Amino acid sequence: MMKRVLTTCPYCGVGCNFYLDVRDSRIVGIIPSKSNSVSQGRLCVKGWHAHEPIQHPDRLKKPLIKENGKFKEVSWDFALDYVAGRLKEIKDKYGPDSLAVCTSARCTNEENFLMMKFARAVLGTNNVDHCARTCHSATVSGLNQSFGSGASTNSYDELPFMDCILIIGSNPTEAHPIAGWRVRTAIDNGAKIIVCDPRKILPAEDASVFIQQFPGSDIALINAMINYIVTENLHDKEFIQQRTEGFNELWEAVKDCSPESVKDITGVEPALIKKAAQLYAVSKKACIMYSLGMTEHTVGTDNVIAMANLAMVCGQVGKEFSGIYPMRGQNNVQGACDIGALPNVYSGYQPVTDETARKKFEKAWGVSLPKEKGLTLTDMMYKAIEGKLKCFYIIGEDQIRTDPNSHWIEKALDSLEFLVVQEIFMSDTAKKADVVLPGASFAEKEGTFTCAERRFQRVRKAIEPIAGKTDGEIICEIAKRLGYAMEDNPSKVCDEMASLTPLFSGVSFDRLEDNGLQWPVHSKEHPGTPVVHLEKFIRGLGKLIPVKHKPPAEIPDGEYPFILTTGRMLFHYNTGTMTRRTANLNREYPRNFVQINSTDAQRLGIKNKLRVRVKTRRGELEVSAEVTDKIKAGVIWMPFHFSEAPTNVLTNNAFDPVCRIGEYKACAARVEKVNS
Amino acid sequence: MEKLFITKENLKVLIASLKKDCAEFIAPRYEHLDDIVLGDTKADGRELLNYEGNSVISPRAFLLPQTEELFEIKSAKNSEFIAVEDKKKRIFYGVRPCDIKALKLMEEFFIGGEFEDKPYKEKFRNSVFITLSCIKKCSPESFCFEMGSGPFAKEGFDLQLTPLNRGFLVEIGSKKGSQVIRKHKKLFSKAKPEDEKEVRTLSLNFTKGKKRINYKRLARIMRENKVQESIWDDIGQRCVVCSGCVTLCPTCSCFSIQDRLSGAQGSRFRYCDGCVYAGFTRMAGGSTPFPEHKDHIRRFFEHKLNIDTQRYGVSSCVGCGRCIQTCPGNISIRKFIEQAVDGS
Amino acid sequence: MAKTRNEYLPEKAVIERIIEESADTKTFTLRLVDKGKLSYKPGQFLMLSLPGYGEAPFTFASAPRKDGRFEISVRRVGSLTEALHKLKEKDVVGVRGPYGNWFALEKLKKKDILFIAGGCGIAPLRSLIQYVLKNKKNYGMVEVIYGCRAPKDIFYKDEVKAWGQSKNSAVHLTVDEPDAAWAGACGVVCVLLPKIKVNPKTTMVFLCGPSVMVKFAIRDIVKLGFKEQNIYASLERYMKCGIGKCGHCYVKGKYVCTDGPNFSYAEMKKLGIES
Repeated sequence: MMKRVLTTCPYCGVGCNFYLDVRDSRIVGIIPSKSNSVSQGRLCVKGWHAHEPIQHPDRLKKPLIKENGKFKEVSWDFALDYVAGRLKEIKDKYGPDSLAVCTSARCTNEENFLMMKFARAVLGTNNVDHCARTCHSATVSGLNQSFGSGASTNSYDELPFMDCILIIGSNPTEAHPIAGWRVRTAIDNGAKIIVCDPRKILPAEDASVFIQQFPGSDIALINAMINYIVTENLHDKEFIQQRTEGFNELWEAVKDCSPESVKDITGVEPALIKKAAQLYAVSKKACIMYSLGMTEHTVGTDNVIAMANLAMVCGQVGKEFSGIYPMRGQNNVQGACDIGALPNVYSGYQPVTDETARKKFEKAWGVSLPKEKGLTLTDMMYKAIEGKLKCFYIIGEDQIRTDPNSHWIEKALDSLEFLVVQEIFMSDTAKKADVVLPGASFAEKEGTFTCAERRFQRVRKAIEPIAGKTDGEIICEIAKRLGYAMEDNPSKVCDEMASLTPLFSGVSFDRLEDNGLQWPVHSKEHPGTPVVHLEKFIRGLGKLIPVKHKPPAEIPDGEYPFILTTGRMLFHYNTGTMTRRTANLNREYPRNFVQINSTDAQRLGIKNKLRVRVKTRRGELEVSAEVTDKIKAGVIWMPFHFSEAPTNVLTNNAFDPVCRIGEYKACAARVEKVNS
Repeated sequence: MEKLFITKENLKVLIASLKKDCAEFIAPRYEHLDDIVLGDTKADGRELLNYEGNSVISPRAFLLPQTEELFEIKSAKNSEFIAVEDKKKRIFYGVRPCDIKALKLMEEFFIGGEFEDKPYKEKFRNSVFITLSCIKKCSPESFCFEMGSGPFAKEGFDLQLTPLNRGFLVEIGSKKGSQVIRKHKKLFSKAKPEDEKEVRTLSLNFTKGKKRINYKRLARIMRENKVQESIWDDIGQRCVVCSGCVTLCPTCSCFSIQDRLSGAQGSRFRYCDGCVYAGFTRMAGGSTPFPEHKDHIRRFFEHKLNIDTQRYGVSSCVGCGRCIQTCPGNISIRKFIEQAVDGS
Repeated sequence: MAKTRNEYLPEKAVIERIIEESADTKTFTLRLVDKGKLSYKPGQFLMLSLPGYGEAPFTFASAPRKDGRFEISVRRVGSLTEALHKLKEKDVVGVRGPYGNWFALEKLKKKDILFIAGGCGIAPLRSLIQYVLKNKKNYGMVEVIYGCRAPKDIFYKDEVKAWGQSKNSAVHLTVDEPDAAWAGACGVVCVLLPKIKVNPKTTMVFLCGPSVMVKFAIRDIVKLGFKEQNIYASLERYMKCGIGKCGHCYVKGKYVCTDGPNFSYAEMKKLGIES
């Protein structure tokens, strides 16, 4: 039997589609889809191999319960009864807010909806969050303040037609390759590229301006651009006048921030900042692409606001071919946010503190819902260590390897009374669990993912769940055991979502068949929205908010003289549970390494490919050195995909005060030669 | 050889009969929207009798699948392997001439020479290929005529159909092809002179304004290293190692072998691999004869456009355009050829 | 259709003996379990298969024997070799082959022969060294230059010593990092070239070792007057099939697995490779 199942790629947030080539219940390959509007017949190397991990022998196939420190296989019924029993026990003993749910940006919208419903309606807590906390929560909090909506303003297909693309803290070629394809096309079409990155990433090779700023100096850089633009009278006065508020306050904050004045903070020649500012301001069609290089800072929210300020001052937003593209990291991190897998909002960003919204959900779900905001993922860890949080139900996330300062996360998880982890492979976090429930991969379920251009797209089932149940079904079974029935049919869940969410009330499976829909989709007839904020911003007037440079929580000193920054690479994806199990991907980069500038390396006597020790105040790792001129002197860079040499033992668990994102992108570190 | 004719109605009858005689009837069919993909239509009848464009994947995807189980590992400890054999009879319908030329080259590669590749040979020998020649360029990226592989197949097919106003012109290319005709004699008639005339017109229309690429000259230019280094630099910088080109190319044959064990048992797979990866030539100790990325793509182009031209007398780039369509770096082998020839 | 052999199917071979050559290298003596004898010629290689880890090429490290036993020396560098090192005597592995070309034995008669090996490059040369020393009367002077990192990294220690003791033969050793007891030469293999006695004009040279060593050794011996067509190197490439299909070892239309792994320097130059 041979079938081709069109589905959405499970890796980054771009949302490429492909066919799974299924022969006799084995998925043997990937076929690209030319008619899909996102990928248009193209895929990156991860997409081309997305079938490999699905039927890997390491997949978890049976529920596991820990007994005397060892996992024992048990039946589904036994495991589900046990989990439900323990959840109830803890809820009865310590109250609903002693429980928390971490949903998954890898799971479908429908599953995330069920999980947040489970937390709120069944457990009775708003303690629900997911990994967007550690990637783009700053986007949600920042762009929301500036524009009234924390998502991409425009669509991918506008990129090839841009006159100017400002890429800051983002490496589209490696992290979002099919968005990178559009940047490549824009370059081929003559677009001018501005790259601001401590590393000379690929688009920098073709860039008109390449700015190599220090990690953590982005606000200074952007404010200096705004300063120069206004000083040179290049700002869009009409746009500022008609579409925004707060210009005077903003000017007050940036008026002393000349390109010359930030030279020491940013490590960038003023002339380069001026050239970039000029280019961005005078281009007819200009956009900003950014990613975690901007968000993963203690000033993540302010970074995002600074970019929104820049865009509004130049009138490069709120129209076609001009806008801001936050490149979302995971396949459904946009969706998991949209669907309300967050402690403060229901689906479509309806606040839990808003009584009308709460009443609507209470009525639909037939229960009374908690009134207070829940804990963010970050604060759940603090509360666990404090002993206030007793139980954590984690779905498809490996906090120990992905959250900053792994040792601290381990301590938090060790403090819990009960930990349930739902996973497809045995992760380091799952190893800590009392119960491990085997989840289903993207190929084993129906549903939708929402990509970074706000597009809902279908996920379609190619094979039966390897462990027998989809993640949605598991949640519903536990809910049932706790006395609450939830519909688990994905299409019906989608309808329920739509009925409760004005932002995408027009979404349903049948409408997504062709090429999905971009929210807002206000009704069944609404065609979706490729560009938002067109006539006016969602919040009305765009708000120019003054933000000022603040150094990272940790700055280099004599003992730790380098700035360590981290990121993702082309061949691997996050903790590598899937890409490390894909032969060719793992072959390209089988082990962790640290990039160090050649002058720094020479000074320390470090040679290419030789072993070095990277140390921070939180931990140390031995990896091989990649000596290169592509990274700024004084800065070192590491990927975080290798669980045997996990970079996040080094990173800093200092957090943005607003969105609670961790500072992965800048901490103080030292590098030492290892004598073998 | 004498040419025959079949009406559209009779072609349907022929297909229905052929389907009874095979395990899989692989034909172009619509998948999502206007995606055309070769697939098994034996049961669902969704094959396109005639179509514009080409399938996203070529027949290679069936003969050398992206992943293929070679052996069942019965006992890892005792190194006990049992060969997984695929003896399914497949009939391929609607295969384009460019892909037929590719199959001919792949046959020579996998079956000719000192060693035979049994898994490939088995599948290839059990297959029948019915070509549908091209009356229209299948995509803006394709350049089959330029590479000498279209719009009609010259060899390598069992039957070749050319769509005409009143039905299909039929050519027989092999014994297997004549067996099909013999078995279904009643469905065919002799072609009329005007049919052949129509084919000539179609051919003229297709080739109008197009020029054949002198691939022997191209090979010489590459052999003598006359391609400007800046062209290779540019290509090296564009390639983001997606592997789409080597996965879709109908003449790419490289693979790797990988075991997957679950306890004491498991499978030995082979999977498509290719020269775009740095790891493709990297040895266990970490050293590699091709440290620069541009050299990986160079190897790909050299193989298709130089080495194979020397080996087979024809280039193994058949001009299907798939690698161009799928490239996120906007690399075009066609543009490369033009640059190489013009620049020398 | 004639039934064709499935070239990819490994045959079982039993490990009869394991010798530790150095901290990271072991020599395995193998014998086919079911089928008589694997007949090969010096210079050829086999694909060794370890279920779960895949396959890798290893050159025969011993001259063909009547009893069908053959040896391979394996340095621990990757996951397969790591797993192989954990095996014990009587364990079973898969083998297929022999593959590749062999040293030009017919051209060697009556000639002087110079072997230049670096590190584990001695293993592939050992099969030919054993072969010519066994049939010594057919050949002229036999000299071996062998360079290692440290004295403890020298393989086949007693045997290497014995090579130099047969008539009309010599062994020259050098190490990069001598220990206190080391009395021999220090540095790269090229430092030993002044010591050799063979006549450059007529001597056949066989090299194997790290690519840098091969490159510089060839450069130096060409300077000494050795003829390009008399210099042969055994090349190492990443390969998966051994039969010219998988494409990994391909270089300019040649497959190191079927057209090689032994190439004359003249051929190497044509292929644009130095090592």
